[in-house]
Amino acid sequence: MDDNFLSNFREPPRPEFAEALYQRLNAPSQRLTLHKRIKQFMESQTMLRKRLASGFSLALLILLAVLVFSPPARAYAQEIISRIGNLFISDAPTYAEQFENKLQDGLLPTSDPNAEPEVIEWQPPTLLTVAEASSQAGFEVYELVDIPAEYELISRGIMPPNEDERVIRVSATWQSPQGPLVFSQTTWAEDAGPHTLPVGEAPAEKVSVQGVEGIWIEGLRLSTYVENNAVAPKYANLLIWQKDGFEFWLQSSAGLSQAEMLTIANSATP
Amino acid sequence: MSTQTTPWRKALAEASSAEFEDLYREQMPRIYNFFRYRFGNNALAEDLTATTFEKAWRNRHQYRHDLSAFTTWLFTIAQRVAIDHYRRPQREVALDQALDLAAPENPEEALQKQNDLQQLNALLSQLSARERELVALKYGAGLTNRAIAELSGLSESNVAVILHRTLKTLRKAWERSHG
Repeated sequence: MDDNFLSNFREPPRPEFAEALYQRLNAPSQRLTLHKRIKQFMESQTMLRKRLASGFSLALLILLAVLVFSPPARAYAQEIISRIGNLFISDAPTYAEQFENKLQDGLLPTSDPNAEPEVIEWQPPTLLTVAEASSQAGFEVYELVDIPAEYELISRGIMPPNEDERVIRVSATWQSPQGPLVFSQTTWAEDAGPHTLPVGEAPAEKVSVQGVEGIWIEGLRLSTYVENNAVAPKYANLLIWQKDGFEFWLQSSAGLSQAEMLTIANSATP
Repeated sequence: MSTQTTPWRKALAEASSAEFEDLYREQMPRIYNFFRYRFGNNALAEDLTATTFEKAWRNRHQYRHDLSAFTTWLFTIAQRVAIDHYRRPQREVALDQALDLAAPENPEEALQKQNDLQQLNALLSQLSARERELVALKYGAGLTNRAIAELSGLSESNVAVILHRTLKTLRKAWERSHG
Protein backbone atom coordinates (compact mmCIF):
# COMPACT_ATOMS: atom_id res chain seq x y z
CA MET A 1 0.00 0.00 0.00
CA ASP A 2 1.80 3.14 -1.14
CA ASP A 3 0.89 6.70 -0.23
CA ASN A 4 -1.09 7.19 -3.41
CA PHE A 5 -3.22 4.16 -2.77
CA LEU A 6 -5.90 6.30 -1.17
CA SER A 7 -6.21 8.43 -4.28
CA ASN A 8 -7.31 5.38 -6.24
CA PHE A 9 -10.73 5.50 -4.63
CA ARG A 10 -11.55 8.74 -6.40
CA GLU A 11 -14.21 8.62 -9.05
CA PRO A 12 -15.75 11.23 -11.32
CA PRO A 13 -19.24 12.50 -10.51
CA ARG A 14 -22.06 11.06 -12.58
CA PRO A 15 -22.39 13.12 -15.79
CA GLU A 16 -26.15 13.53 -15.33
CA PHE A 17 -25.61 14.87 -11.81
CA ALA A 18 -22.89 17.25 -12.99
CA GLU A 19 -25.10 18.51 -15.80
CA ALA A 20 -28.21 18.91 -13.64
CA LEU A 21 -26.31 20.89 -11.01
CA TYR A 22 -24.71 23.09 -13.64
CA GLN A 23 -28.10 23.90 -15.13
CA ARG A 24 -29.51 24.63 -11.68
CA LEU A 25 -26.71 27.06 -10.89
CA ASN A 26 -27.36 28.92 -14.09
CA ALA A 27 -31.11 29.17 -13.52
CA PRO A 28 -32.33 32.72 -12.81
CA SER A 29 -33.79 31.68 -9.44
CA GLN A 30 -30.29 31.00 -8.16
CA ARG A 31 -29.10 34.52 -8.86
CA LEU A 32 -28.17 37.00 -6.19
CA THR A 33 -30.08 36.69 -2.92
CA LEU A 34 -28.26 39.27 -0.87
CA HIS A 35 -31.44 41.10 0.06
CA LYS A 36 -32.92 37.88 1.33
CA ARG A 37 -29.85 37.23 3.45
CA ILE A 38 -29.91 40.74 4.89
CA LYS A 39 -33.59 40.31 5.69
CA GLN A 40 -32.83 37.07 7.49
CA PHE A 41 -30.11 38.81 9.44
CA MET A 42 -32.43 41.65 10.43
CA GLU A 43 -35.04 39.16 11.60
CA SER A 44 -32.46 37.34 13.65
CA GLN A 45 -31.70 40.61 15.40
CA THR A 46 -35.28 41.19 16.59
CA MET A 47 -34.53 39.85 20.04
CA LEU A 48 -31.43 41.97 20.16
CA ARG A 49 -33.35 45.17 19.41
CA LYS A 50 -35.75 44.44 22.24
CA ARG A 51 -32.89 44.10 24.62
CA LEU A 52 -31.22 47.25 23.39
CA ALA A 53 -34.44 49.18 24.07
CA SER A 54 -33.83 49.02 27.80
CA GLY A 55 -31.61 52.06 27.33
CA PHE A 56 -28.81 51.26 29.70
CA SER A 57 -25.61 52.43 28.17
CA LEU A 58 -23.36 49.98 29.97
CA ALA A 59 -25.45 47.02 28.95
CA LEU A 60 -25.51 48.25 25.38
CA LEU A 61 -21.78 48.77 25.29
CA ILE A 62 -21.24 45.19 26.45
CA LEU A 63 -23.76 43.99 23.92
CA LEU A 64 -21.97 45.77 21.10
CA ALA A 65 -18.70 44.25 22.18
CA VAL A 66 -20.33 40.84 22.09
CA LEU A 67 -21.75 41.60 18.67
CA VAL A 68 -18.31 42.31 17.28
CA PHE A 69 -17.45 38.68 18.03
CA SER A 70 -20.76 37.06 17.13
CA PRO A 71 -21.47 34.59 14.28
CA PRO A 72 -24.19 36.63 12.50
CA ALA A 73 -21.29 38.43 10.82
CA ARG A 74 -21.27 35.51 8.45
CA ALA A 75 -24.73 36.38 7.26
CA TYR A 76 -23.95 40.03 6.58
CA ALA A 77 -20.54 39.84 5.01
CA GLN A 78 -20.28 41.75 1.74
CA GLU A 79 -16.81 41.07 0.48
CA ILE A 80 -13.84 39.31 1.98
CA ILE A 81 -10.93 41.73 2.03
CA SER A 82 -8.40 39.76 4.00
CA ARG A 83 -7.91 36.58 5.92
CA ILE A 84 -5.69 34.89 8.49
CA GLY A 85 -6.35 31.24 9.22
CA ASN A 86 -10.07 30.77 9.57
CA LEU A 87 -10.80 34.44 10.30
CA PHE A 88 -12.20 36.36 7.34
CA ILE A 89 -12.17 40.17 7.35
CA SER A 90 -15.05 41.63 5.37
CA ASP A 91 -15.88 45.19 4.41
CA ALA A 92 -19.47 44.89 5.59
CA PRO A 93 -20.55 47.65 8.01
CA THR A 94 -19.32 46.98 11.54
CA TYR A 95 -21.93 45.85 14.00
CA ALA A 96 -21.78 49.23 15.65
CA GLU A 97 -22.54 50.86 12.30
CA GLN A 98 -25.41 48.47 11.66
CA PHE A 99 -26.81 49.32 15.06
CA GLU A 100 -26.45 53.05 14.44
CA ASN A 101 -28.17 52.76 11.08
CA LYS A 102 -31.13 51.07 12.69
CA LEU A 103 -31.16 53.68 15.40
CA GLN A 104 -31.25 56.50 12.86
CA ASP A 105 -33.94 54.74 10.90
CA GLY A 106 -36.09 54.56 14.02
CA LEU A 107 -36.05 50.80 14.00
CA LEU A 108 -35.16 50.55 17.65
CA PRO A 109 -37.96 51.07 20.18
CA THR A 110 -37.32 53.85 22.69
CA SER A 111 -37.62 53.47 26.42
CA ASP A 112 -40.58 54.86 28.36
CA PRO A 113 -39.43 58.15 30.02
CA ASN A 114 -41.93 57.63 32.88
CA ALA A 115 -40.82 54.09 33.60
CA GLU A 116 -39.12 53.34 36.88
CA PRO A 117 -35.38 52.98 36.27
CA GLU A 118 -34.20 49.42 36.63
CA VAL A 119 -31.71 48.96 39.43
CA ILE A 120 -28.55 47.23 38.35
CA GLU A 121 -26.24 46.14 41.08
CA TRP A 122 -22.66 47.08 40.35
CA GLN A 123 -20.34 44.14 40.14
CA PRO A 124 -16.59 44.59 40.30
CA PRO A 125 -14.82 43.21 37.21
CA THR A 126 -13.17 39.82 37.52
CA LEU A 127 -9.44 40.08 38.03
CA LEU A 128 -7.84 36.67 37.78
CA THR A 129 -4.13 36.07 37.93
CA VAL A 130 -2.55 34.48 34.86
CA ALA A 131 -2.25 31.21 36.78
CA GLU A 132 -5.92 31.30 37.78
CA ALA A 133 -7.00 32.16 34.25
CA SER A 134 -4.84 29.32 32.85
CA SER A 135 -6.32 26.88 35.31
CA GLN A 136 -9.90 27.89 34.52
CA ALA A 137 -9.39 28.09 30.75
CA GLY A 138 -7.60 24.76 30.54
CA PHE A 139 -4.70 26.17 28.54
CA GLU A 140 -1.67 28.36 29.12
CA VAL A 141 -2.75 31.98 29.11
CA TYR A 142 -0.46 34.51 27.43
CA GLU A 143 0.64 37.61 29.28
CA LEU A 144 1.70 40.98 27.89
CA VAL A 145 5.07 41.86 29.37
CA ASP A 146 5.69 45.20 27.72
CA ILE A 147 2.75 47.40 28.76
CA PRO A 148 3.21 51.22 28.92
CA ALA A 149 3.58 52.46 32.49
CA GLU A 150 0.37 54.50 32.55
CA TYR A 151 -1.76 51.40 31.88
CA GLU A 152 -3.30 49.63 34.88
CA LEU A 153 -4.68 46.11 34.71
CA ILE A 154 -8.33 46.29 35.77
CA SER A 155 -9.75 42.93 34.68
CA ARG A 156 -8.85 39.47 33.46
CA GLY A 157 -11.62 36.94 33.00
CA ILE A 158 -12.84 34.00 30.98
CA MET A 159 -15.69 33.93 28.53
CA PRO A 160 -16.87 30.33 28.58
CA PRO A 161 -17.92 28.56 25.37
CA ASN A 162 -21.45 28.92 24.12
CA GLU A 163 -23.37 26.92 21.56
CA ASP A 164 -22.96 29.43 18.77
CA GLU A 165 -19.32 30.40 18.96
CA ARG A 166 -17.89 27.31 20.61
CA VAL A 167 -14.91 29.22 21.87
CA ILE A 168 -13.06 29.79 25.11
CA ARG A 169 -11.78 33.34 25.38
CA VAL A 170 -9.55 34.88 28.03
CA SER A 171 -9.72 38.63 28.01
CA ALA A 172 -7.72 41.20 29.96
CA THR A 173 -8.26 44.97 30.10
CA TRP A 174 -5.83 47.72 31.04
CA GLN A 175 -7.08 51.25 31.66
CA SER A 176 -5.19 54.47 30.96
CA PRO A 177 -6.18 58.15 30.99
CA GLN A 178 -6.39 57.96 27.18
CA GLY A 179 -8.56 54.84 27.07
CA PRO A 180 -8.48 51.10 27.51
CA LEU A 181 -6.31 48.39 26.02
CA VAL A 182 -7.88 44.94 25.64
CA PHE A 183 -6.00 41.71 24.98
CA SER A 184 -7.86 38.49 24.24
CA GLN A 185 -6.73 34.94 23.59
CA THR A 186 -9.27 32.63 22.01
CA THR A 187 -9.35 28.95 21.22
CA TRP A 188 -11.98 27.62 18.83
CA ALA A 189 -13.63 24.23 18.74
CA GLU A 190 -11.87 21.93 16.29
CA ASP A 191 -14.82 21.92 13.89
CA ALA A 192 -15.96 25.51 14.52
CA GLY A 193 -15.26 26.54 10.91
CA PRO A 194 -14.47 30.03 9.67
CA HIS A 195 -15.70 33.24 11.27
CA THR A 196 -15.97 36.78 9.98
CA LEU A 197 -15.15 40.23 11.31
CA PRO A 198 -16.85 43.10 9.44
CA VAL A 199 -14.69 46.22 9.56
CA GLY A 200 -16.62 48.63 7.34
CA GLU A 201 -14.32 51.19 5.78
CA ALA A 202 -11.46 50.66 8.21
CA PRO A 203 -8.31 49.64 6.30
CA ALA A 204 -6.92 46.18 7.02
CA GLU A 205 -3.18 45.72 6.54
CA LYS A 206 -1.09 42.56 6.77
CA VAL A 207 1.73 42.84 9.32
CA SER A 208 4.25 40.54 10.95
CA VAL A 209 3.61 39.89 14.62
CA GLN A 210 5.19 37.26 16.85
CA GLY A 211 6.87 35.85 13.73
CA VAL A 212 3.56 35.12 11.97
CA GLU A 213 1.26 37.02 9.66
CA GLY A 214 -1.24 39.23 11.41
CA ILE A 215 -3.74 41.93 10.48
CA TRP A 216 -3.69 45.56 11.56
CA ILE A 217 -7.03 47.36 11.41
CA GLU A 218 -6.94 51.08 12.07
CA GLY A 219 -9.95 53.06 13.17
CA LEU A 220 -12.46 50.24 13.54
CA ARG A 221 -15.78 51.88 14.24
CA LEU A 222 -17.22 51.15 17.67
CA SER A 223 -19.96 53.12 19.41
CA THR A 224 -21.02 54.16 22.84
CA TYR A 225 -24.73 54.40 23.37
CA VAL A 226 -25.49 57.46 25.46
CA GLU A 227 -29.22 58.07 25.89
CA ASN A 228 -32.25 59.28 23.95
CA ASN A 229 -31.04 57.41 20.90
CA ALA A 230 -27.84 59.44 20.70
CA VAL A 231 -24.63 57.74 19.71
CA ALA A 232 -21.13 58.85 20.54
CA PRO A 233 -18.81 57.30 17.96
CA LYS A 234 -15.73 55.54 19.20
CA TYR A 235 -12.90 53.96 17.29
CA ALA A 236 -10.33 51.31 18.04
CA ASN A 237 -7.08 50.11 16.53
CA LEU A 238 -6.87 46.36 16.34
CA LEU A 239 -4.12 43.82 15.86
CA ILE A 240 -5.10 40.20 15.20
CA TRP A 241 -2.90 37.16 14.77
CA GLN A 242 -3.16 33.39 15.12
CA LYS A 243 -0.43 31.32 16.69
CA ASP A 244 -0.09 28.01 18.53
CA GLY A 245 -3.76 27.25 17.92
CA PHE A 246 -4.96 30.52 19.43
CA GLU A 247 -6.40 33.69 17.98
CA PHE A 248 -5.08 36.85 19.63
CA TRP A 249 -6.71 40.28 19.54
CA LEU A 250 -5.06 43.40 20.89
CA GLN A 251 -7.42 46.35 20.84
CA SER A 252 -6.68 49.96 21.75
CA SER A 253 -9.26 52.70 22.07
CA ALA A 254 -6.53 55.09 23.17
CA GLY A 255 -5.13 55.57 19.68
CA LEU A 256 -1.93 53.58 20.14
CA SER A 257 0.00 53.46 16.86
CA GLN A 258 0.80 50.33 14.88
CA ALA A 259 4.42 50.41 16.11
CA GLU A 260 3.32 50.75 19.73
CA MET A 261 0.79 47.96 19.40
CA LEU A 262 3.32 45.68 17.70
CA THR A 263 5.77 46.24 20.55
CA ILE A 264 3.12 45.26 23.05
CA ALA A 265 1.93 42.29 20.98
CA ASN A 266 5.43 40.97 20.47
CA SER A 267 5.90 40.88 24.23
CA ALA A 268 3.08 38.34 24.67
CA THR A 269 4.41 35.19 26.29
CA PRO A 270 2.72 32.14 27.80
CA MET B 1 -2.70 21.37 -7.27
CA SER B 2 -2.43 25.12 -7.38
CA THR B 3 -4.75 27.25 -5.35
CA GLN B 4 -4.15 30.19 -7.69
CA THR B 5 -6.56 29.13 -10.41
CA THR B 6 -6.81 32.21 -12.57
CA PRO B 7 -9.92 31.32 -14.62
CA TRP B 8 -11.96 30.89 -11.45
CA ARG B 9 -10.99 34.34 -10.32
CA LYS B 10 -12.16 35.86 -13.51
CA ALA B 11 -15.39 33.93 -13.43
CA LEU B 12 -16.11 34.98 -9.90
CA ALA B 13 -15.29 38.57 -10.59
CA GLU B 14 -17.26 38.80 -13.79
CA ALA B 15 -19.76 35.99 -13.22
CA SER B 16 -19.36 34.98 -16.82
CA SER B 17 -21.63 32.04 -17.59
CA ALA B 18 -19.52 31.02 -20.58
CA GLU B 19 -16.38 30.59 -18.52
CA PHE B 20 -18.21 29.31 -15.51
CA GLU B 21 -18.77 25.96 -17.19
CA ASP B 22 -15.03 25.23 -17.55
CA LEU B 23 -14.37 26.32 -14.01
CA TYR B 24 -17.21 24.26 -12.71
CA ARG B 25 -15.92 21.15 -14.53
CA GLU B 26 -12.50 21.68 -12.99
CA GLN B 27 -13.51 22.11 -9.37
CA MET B 28 -16.69 20.09 -8.99
CA PRO B 29 -15.04 16.62 -9.05
CA ARG B 30 -12.66 17.75 -6.30
CA ILE B 31 -15.48 18.87 -4.06
CA TYR B 32 -17.48 15.74 -4.85
CA ASN B 33 -14.59 13.45 -3.91
CA PHE B 34 -13.85 15.47 -0.80
CA PHE B 35 -17.35 14.64 0.41
CA ARG B 36 -17.09 11.00 -0.73
CA TYR B 37 -13.97 10.53 1.34
CA ARG B 38 -15.46 12.49 4.21
CA PHE B 39 -18.74 10.59 4.45
CA GLY B 40 -18.34 7.45 2.31
CA ASN B 41 -21.69 7.87 0.59
CA ASN B 42 -22.07 8.82 -3.06
CA ALA B 43 -25.62 10.11 -2.80
CA LEU B 44 -24.76 12.28 0.18
CA ALA B 45 -21.62 13.50 -1.60
CA GLU B 46 -23.75 14.68 -4.51
CA ASP B 47 -26.19 16.38 -2.17
CA LEU B 48 -23.44 18.24 -0.29
CA THR B 49 -21.57 19.09 -3.49
CA ALA B 50 -24.71 20.70 -4.85
CA THR B 51 -25.17 22.66 -1.61
CA THR B 52 -21.56 23.85 -1.72
CA PHE B 53 -21.77 25.11 -5.29
CA GLU B 54 -25.11 26.77 -4.74
CA LYS B 55 -23.69 28.64 -1.75
CA ALA B 56 -20.53 29.56 -3.64
CA TRP B 57 -22.52 30.80 -6.61
CA ARG B 58 -24.89 32.84 -4.46
CA ASN B 59 -22.06 34.36 -2.45
CA ARG B 60 -19.51 34.85 -5.21
CA HIS B 61 -19.59 38.61 -4.66
CA GLN B 62 -18.04 37.99 -1.21
CA TYR B 63 -14.91 36.64 -2.79
CA ARG B 64 -12.20 39.17 -3.59
CA HIS B 65 -9.95 37.47 -6.08
CA ASP B 66 -6.76 39.34 -5.42
CA LEU B 67 -6.58 38.41 -1.76
CA SER B 68 -7.77 34.86 -1.33
CA ALA B 69 -7.35 31.86 -3.56
CA PHE B 70 -10.62 30.67 -4.93
CA THR B 71 -10.03 26.99 -4.23
CA THR B 72 -9.39 27.75 -0.58
CA TRP B 73 -12.55 29.83 -0.45
CA LEU B 74 -14.60 27.09 -2.12
CA PHE B 75 -13.29 24.40 0.21
CA THR B 76 -13.98 26.61 3.21
CA ILE B 77 -17.61 26.62 2.11
CA ALA B 78 -17.47 22.84 1.65
CA GLN B 79 -16.12 22.41 5.17
CA ARG B 80 -18.98 24.49 6.55
CA VAL B 81 -21.46 22.45 4.58
CA ALA B 82 -19.95 19.30 6.10
CA ILE B 83 -20.24 20.76 9.60
CA ASP B 84 -23.84 21.77 8.96
CA HIS B 85 -24.55 18.24 7.83
CA TYR B 86 -23.21 16.86 11.11
CA ARG B 87 -25.37 19.26 13.08
CA ARG B 88 -28.69 18.61 11.37
CA PRO B 89 -30.78 15.47 11.95
CA GLN B 90 -29.39 12.70 9.79
CA ARG B 91 -31.40 11.91 6.70
CA GLU B 92 -31.64 8.31 5.67
CA VAL B 93 -30.72 7.46 2.10
CA ALA B 94 -32.46 4.34 0.90
CA LEU B 95 -30.03 1.61 -0.08
CA ASP B 96 -31.59 1.11 -3.50
CA GLN B 97 -31.42 4.87 -4.09
CA ALA B 98 -27.75 4.99 -3.13
CA LEU B 99 -26.93 2.06 -5.39
CA ASP B 100 -28.96 3.53 -8.21
CA LEU B 101 -27.25 6.89 -7.93
CA ALA B 102 -23.87 5.22 -8.02
CA ALA B 103 -24.73 2.82 -10.83
CA PRO B 104 -22.28 2.79 -13.73
CA GLU B 105 -22.66 0.88 -17.01
CA ASN B 106 -22.52 -2.78 -16.02
CA PRO B 107 -23.22 -4.88 -12.90
CA GLU B 108 -19.60 -6.03 -12.45
CA GLU B 109 -18.39 -2.46 -12.47
CA ALA B 110 -21.18 -1.46 -10.11
CA LEU B 111 -20.20 -4.19 -7.68
CA GLN B 112 -16.53 -3.27 -7.89
CA LYS B 113 -17.27 0.39 -7.23
CA GLN B 114 -19.52 -0.48 -4.32
CA ASN B 115 -16.77 -2.66 -2.88
CA ASP B 116 -14.25 0.13 -3.34
CA LEU B 117 -16.46 2.57 -1.48
CA GLN B 118 -17.01 0.10 1.34
CA GLN B 119 -13.28 -0.51 1.60
CA LEU B 120 -12.60 3.20 1.69
CA ASN B 121 -15.24 3.72 4.35
CA ALA B 122 -13.93 0.85 6.46
CA LEU B 123 -10.46 2.33 6.37
CA LEU B 124 -11.39 5.93 7.02
CA SER B 125 -13.96 5.19 9.73
CA GLN B 126 -11.04 4.30 12.01
CA LEU B 127 -9.78 7.85 11.90
CA SER B 128 -10.63 10.84 14.06
CA ALA B 129 -12.77 13.56 12.49
CA ARG B 130 -9.74 15.77 11.93
CA GLU B 131 -7.65 12.98 10.40
CA ARG B 132 -10.46 12.02 8.07
CA GLU B 133 -10.92 15.65 7.07
CA LEU B 134 -7.25 15.95 6.16
CA VAL B 135 -7.30 12.66 4.23
CA ALA B 136 -10.41 13.80 2.34
CA LEU B 137 -8.73 17.08 1.41
CA LYS B 138 -5.47 15.42 0.40
CA TYR B 139 -6.55 12.22 -1.34
CA GLY B 140 -10.17 12.96 -2.16
CA ALA B 141 -9.83 16.54 -3.36
CA GLY B 142 -6.15 16.35 -4.30
CA LEU B 143 -5.15 19.52 -2.46
CA THR B 144 -1.55 20.33 -1.60
CA ASN B 145 -0.37 20.32 2.00
CA ARG B 146 -0.07 24.09 1.76
CA ALA B 147 -3.69 24.49 0.72
CA ILE B 148 -4.77 22.10 3.47
CA ALA B 149 -2.75 24.08 5.99
CA GLU B 150 -4.58 27.24 4.97
CA LEU B 151 -7.94 25.53 5.35
CA SER B 152 -7.25 23.78 8.62
CA GLY B 153 -5.31 26.50 10.41
CA LEU B 154 -2.44 24.05 10.91
CA SER B 155 1.10 24.62 9.73
CA GLU B 156 2.19 22.92 6.52
CA SER B 157 4.63 20.71 8.40
CA ASN B 158 1.94 19.81 10.91
CA VAL B 159 -0.34 18.72 8.07
CA ALA B 160 2.45 16.57 6.64
CA VAL B 161 3.12 14.96 10.02
CA ILE B 162 -0.55 14.19 10.69
CA LEU B 163 -1.04 12.77 7.19
CA HIS B 164 2.10 10.66 7.50
CA ARG B 165 0.94 9.30 10.86
CA THR B 166 -2.56 8.68 9.52
CA LEU B 167 -1.26 6.79 6.49
CA LYS B 168 0.86 4.64 8.77
CA THR B 169 -2.25 3.75 10.78
CA LEU B 170 -4.21 3.00 7.62
CA ARG B 171 -1.40 0.90 6.18
CA LYS B 172 -1.35 -1.25 9.31
CA ALA B 173 -5.12 -1.64 9.19
CA TRP B 174 -4.94 -2.57 5.53
CA GLU B 175 -2.25 -5.18 6.15
CA ARG B 176 -4.22 -6.65 9.02
CA SER B 177 -7.38 -7.01 6.92
CA HIS B 178 -5.58 -8.34 3.82
CA GLY B 179 -3.11 -10.67 5.46
